Amino acid sequence: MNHPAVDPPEENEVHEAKTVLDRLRQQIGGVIFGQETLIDSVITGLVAQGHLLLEGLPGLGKTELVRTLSKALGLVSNRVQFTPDLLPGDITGNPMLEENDGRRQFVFQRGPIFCNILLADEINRASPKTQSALLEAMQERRVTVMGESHELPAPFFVLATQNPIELEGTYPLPEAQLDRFLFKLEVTRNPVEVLERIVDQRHMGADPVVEQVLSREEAEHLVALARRVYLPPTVGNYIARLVNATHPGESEAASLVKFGASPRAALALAAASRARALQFGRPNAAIEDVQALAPFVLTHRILLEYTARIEGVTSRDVVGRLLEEVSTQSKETPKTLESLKV
Amino acid sequence: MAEPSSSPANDWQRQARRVAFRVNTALLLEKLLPWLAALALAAAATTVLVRTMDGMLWPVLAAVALASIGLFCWQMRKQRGRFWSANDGLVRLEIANQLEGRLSTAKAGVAGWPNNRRAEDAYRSRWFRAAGPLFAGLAIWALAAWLPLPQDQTLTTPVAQPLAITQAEELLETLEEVEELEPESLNKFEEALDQLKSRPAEDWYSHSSLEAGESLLANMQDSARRLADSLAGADSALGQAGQPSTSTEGQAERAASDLREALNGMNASELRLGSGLEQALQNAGTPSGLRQLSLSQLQRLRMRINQVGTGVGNGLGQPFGEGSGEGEQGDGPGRGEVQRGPGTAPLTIGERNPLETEGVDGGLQSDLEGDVGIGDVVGTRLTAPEENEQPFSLSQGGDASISAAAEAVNRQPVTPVERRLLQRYFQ
Repeated sequence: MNHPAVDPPEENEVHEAKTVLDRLRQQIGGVIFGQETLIDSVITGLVAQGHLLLEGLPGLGKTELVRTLSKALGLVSNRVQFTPDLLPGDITGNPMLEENDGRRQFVFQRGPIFCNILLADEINRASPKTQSALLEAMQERRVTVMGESHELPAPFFVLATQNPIELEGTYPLPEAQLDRFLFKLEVTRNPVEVLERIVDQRHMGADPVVEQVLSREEAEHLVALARRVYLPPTVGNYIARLVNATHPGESEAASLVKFGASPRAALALAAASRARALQFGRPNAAIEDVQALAPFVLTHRILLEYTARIEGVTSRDVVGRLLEEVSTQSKETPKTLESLKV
Repeated sequence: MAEPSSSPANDWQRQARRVAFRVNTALLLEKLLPWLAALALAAAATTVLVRTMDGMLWPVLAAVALASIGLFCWQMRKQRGRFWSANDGLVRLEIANQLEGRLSTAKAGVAGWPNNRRAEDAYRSRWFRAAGPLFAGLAIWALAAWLPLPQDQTLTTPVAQPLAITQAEELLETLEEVEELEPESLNKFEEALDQLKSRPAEDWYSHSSLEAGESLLANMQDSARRLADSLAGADSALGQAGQPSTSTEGQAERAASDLREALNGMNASELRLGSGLEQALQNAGTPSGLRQLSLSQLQRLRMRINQVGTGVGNGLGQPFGEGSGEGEQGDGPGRGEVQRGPGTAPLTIGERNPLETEGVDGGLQSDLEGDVGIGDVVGTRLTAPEENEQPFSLSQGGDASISAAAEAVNRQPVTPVERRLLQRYFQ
């Protein structure tokens, strides 16, 4: 019998967590209409303590989602509109020369990054230098200015948005920075029924009322609880085989891939699977969690060949093919046994 | 910790083992069946071979059984690393039944086992894909064991005996019908023929048998031909003796001499005349004996000779009295015989012997004697040789034909002018 390395969460803990997260979902769902999958994914990402990259057209509620989330969680959020002339110090903060008792000294003036939830709006409009200012903050949750490190408040999340249109004058995010985002979520436009509901229930310029569901401590507890969710060896094996299959030569689906996903992707997939299991009230992650989250985790980590673009193949297509190709069983299944759709 | 046999854990693990067994069986058969199909094909070929040799089939069955066991053990050893464990079966069950990892988690002791104890593995067997080749191989094997094969006898024994033996039999039957032939001389051939026929049928077409048969046939034909020629000579001699013009002593002596010569030829043949006819011919073999025979006795004697000759000639396939010439039966191209080509033999005109006929174009009489010349038989005329003034080209091979065959002259490789020049030089 394989025993987990850490104490798995008790059933009542899992149940309480599910209840809280359901309430959080309801709160956000009362403001953001028709984006249930997006809301679930955002909650999953937050519980997994990952940064999220939202991609979608303007006006679809990306900023509203982040604001609602920060209110519901009782966390401090800041919004930075990224522009080409934005400097790293505008985000991280700058040392300011101050005179105190006749002595002049540099005092670090904290930037907007010192918050719990940072909304980096249109992150791809900033220069690579400014974009890279977020690297240390996203990975190590601290900022170093003039040789002095400053810890960021916990929990710390970056929710960045980027606009898929008006690409002229933008700077695509480098792979190293893309790899630091747990999910890349696509915000799609709303159907007519949802639009009608928005028109009926929302008013221009009036902020919706959002109740705080969680305190900061409870949010941190949820993050810690998610780390204790049991990941069965079969699920870990499936994640490893799936991430390995993203590399060229390792699978047929990856034939158009130039660079596959990194080990960080495997860690992200495992963490996200744990968080999703907690969200659904389970003490264990499952292969179904991996399959549900793989498109969000792997799509932005796969770099395609130029020929793939010519053929119109997207990273999402490749991930879809990978999920069909990589067997859930670690060992070969005979061809004489046809697996029925379940 | 021992759990009760009816606990959910036991139920789930039993089902997991069942799934693993099913998958492992499928995996093993998937790898094994192509080999078994190949084995069935090999067994089919061996079965056909064994049946052809009238051998026993049970060793084939035993060998196939042993080979099957060997293949099974080999594949078991080879595929062992790919076999599913009970844990793999559990994973399949939780995937197929959307249990979201609850079985693996329960097995790890993190959570309890699900209460629903029945689950499907959601696999559908497609056995025909793997078993199809095996079924085909077995069917071919069954056909190989069931289809009637040609018997050995018909395979190895020739249907017909060699042509030479058949022809010798026919010739012997024909000769046996001739009354005036000595039976003992025929018995000798019959014994030789029986000896050849008594050899095993599969040896009929061996080189030695064929050679012996053809030699016997040639010997019989040669003897018969020699006898027929001698009989024709005797008949001719008796015919001369019966002519009114044979009144002189010299002519009677010549006829008797021809008759003796014919008797010598008969003695040289292995076919002998019956004692009565042979004695009568012996008695007539002297001038005095010949003169003592009346014309009617001569006619009867010739009639007896003609009967024998006709019988022997029937066996040879040629009319009595017609010379065999050089193109004897049994000779031919590729047998070392000089061929003269189609047509009648020299000195024959049409189908008749010029020595015994009334003549051709009235110029050849029946009283021609043995020293008759070519000019007595074919018409010739003497003319002065004519010189061909045309230069002769050596490139034509020195054998150029000329238009008038009767006016042929000996051709010289030099022209007359050149010849006169040569004569002057050597003088």
